Amino acid sequence: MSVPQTVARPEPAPATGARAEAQPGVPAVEVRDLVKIYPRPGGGTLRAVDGISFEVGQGEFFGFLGPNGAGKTTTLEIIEGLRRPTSGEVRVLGVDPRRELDQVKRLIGVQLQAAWYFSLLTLEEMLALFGSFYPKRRPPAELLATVGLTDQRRAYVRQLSGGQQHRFSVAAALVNDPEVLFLDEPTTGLDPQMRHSLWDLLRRLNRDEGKTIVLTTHYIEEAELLADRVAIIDHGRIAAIDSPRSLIGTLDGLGHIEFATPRRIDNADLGRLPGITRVESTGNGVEPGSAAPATYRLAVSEPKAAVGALLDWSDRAGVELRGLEVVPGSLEDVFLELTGRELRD
Amino acid sequence: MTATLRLAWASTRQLFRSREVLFSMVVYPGFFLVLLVLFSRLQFETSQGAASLMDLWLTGAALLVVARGNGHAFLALIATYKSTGVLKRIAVMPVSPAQLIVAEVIPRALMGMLTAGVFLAGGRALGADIRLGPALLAVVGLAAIIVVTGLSVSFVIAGLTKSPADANALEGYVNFPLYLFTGAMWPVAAFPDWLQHVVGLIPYTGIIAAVRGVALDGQPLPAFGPELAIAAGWLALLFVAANRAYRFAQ
Ligand SMILES: Nc1ncnc2c1ncn2[C@@H]1O[C@H](COP(=O)(O)OP(=O)(O)OP(=O)(O)O)[C@@H](O)[C@H]1O
Ligand SMILES: [Mg+2]
Repeated sequence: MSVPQTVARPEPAPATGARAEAQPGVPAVEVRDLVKIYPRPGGGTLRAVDGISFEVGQGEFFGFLGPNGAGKTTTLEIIEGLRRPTSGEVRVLGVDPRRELDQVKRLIGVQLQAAWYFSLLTLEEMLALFGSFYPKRRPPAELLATVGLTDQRRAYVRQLSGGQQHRFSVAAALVNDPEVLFLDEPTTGLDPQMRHSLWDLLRRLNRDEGKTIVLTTHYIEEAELLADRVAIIDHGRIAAIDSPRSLIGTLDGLGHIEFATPRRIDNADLGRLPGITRVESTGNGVEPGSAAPATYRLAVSEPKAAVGALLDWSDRAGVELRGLEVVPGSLEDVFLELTGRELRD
Repeated sequence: MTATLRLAWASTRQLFRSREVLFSMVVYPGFFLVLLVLFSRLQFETSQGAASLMDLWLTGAALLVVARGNGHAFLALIATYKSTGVLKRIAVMPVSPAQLIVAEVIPRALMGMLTAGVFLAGGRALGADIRLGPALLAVVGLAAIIVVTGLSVSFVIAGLTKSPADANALEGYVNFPLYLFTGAMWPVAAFPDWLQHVVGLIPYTGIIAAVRGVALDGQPLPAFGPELAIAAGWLALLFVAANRAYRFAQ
């Protein structure tokens, strides 16, 4: 199986002088050969980020998909200037966070995976305070309305539920009306309704206001639904990077056919049919005539042709196909293929 | 600059919403003054004459208590900022650790000045031999320096430790010698000559000497130039160290 690495990596733009506005044509984020080595507790080192390169265009919605410990937060926080890379280059809208950190901070909005706030300031006081650090800002009332926390505007953060705190974090990331928004698992812990409304908000920010969004997530459907392009990251490396559609397309096929048979049939017979690229089977209908059904999962490149051929073949061979189902390809298939791991916990 | 002032205003607000103001400005000075009245007949004799414990402690231990009390509450707060991630959230924004430090120090310096004033005026009302008027102003100003020095020490401690509990422990070790050697509890004149020179270099010693000179003996503040210079040197050093130690970086 081969997934093309999209390796568009021109030289990073030279760091430019202080600007408050984004330059057209410059990528929103450029990362080149990024490495972060941590000391491992108890000795040794850990390459948490192991040579990552990618680019995010202005106005793009970019997703980082990876399991726990893959290196998503580390990568994001290096770009945000919160952690120092061991080696590698980073540019945000052409600005080097190691040289002009404050300039980068003015251009970006950051939602941290875990954030704490002043304990004795209300939500609106905190947003007003944070906003005052920037030349460009959004009014607290508007921000709170955006994330549905208007009624809590006079509350302290500790008086919010977990999901409300999450939403407040998103509001706090928007105080400076940022050009590039970094969100580290913004929907983890949200109920389905809130998750959908946050998705709507992010899409609005991206489509209507042209914000560049870089988001990490555990949720495959989230990446598939929102992101223009997705990087699948595992063990500190990018395993694949492309649009969800192309990623799914590069998998063995575009989808799967699943069915069961009362008796075992030879995988090779199925593999010879047109449009079928791979055959997996489970179940032990090994001896002919056995009652235990065997189940099959066929990866297909052209579902229509494959289904037709399969039905013809079953007629000819006199094999009964039970529970025949055509499953469209998903990012989850790509993820499993690339990382060999289930993402859901 | 405006960011610093905004932050300072925010921390003032938070301070007044906490119970700390009540404890440090009312409850604790009240308790301390009652204690001094109970011991009002105790005297220290040194080669330079006699001094009552009440006078000595009001111009020494009381100020150190104000400084360390502020420092302690403050240490708990900033160590928590560091361990929980408030500092990291601030680091996301174009605000420097120095701005955060200054902003957190301003309301505490003001509170320390007020508390010192409460102590001295209260002590005077209870019979201490303390000069008021211009001397009180000078003392209140010196109290601000003591408090700010104490806060800088707290910033350094918070920077050097990883959890509020560690910070607390380290602070305990730093505090004890301060009470013993700065002249807060008994006159420095009681120490052997060589030790008097050594303790003169501790951050608080010179200021306490200046407070006593101004409030008890009616000397002018400029007479304590060398002492104030040492204190100012410490303050600058601690501020630089605090700014380096207390920041978010991984
Ligand atoms: N400060 C640190 N010191 C040492 N090791 C660290 C540090 N931060 C992260 N790591 C390690 O680096 C690896 C990557 O961590 P990171 O937080 O980037 O993962 P992640 O993809 O964000 O995971 P999650 O989905 O759980 O948030 C992990 O193995 C983690 O244990
Ligand atoms: Mg993470």
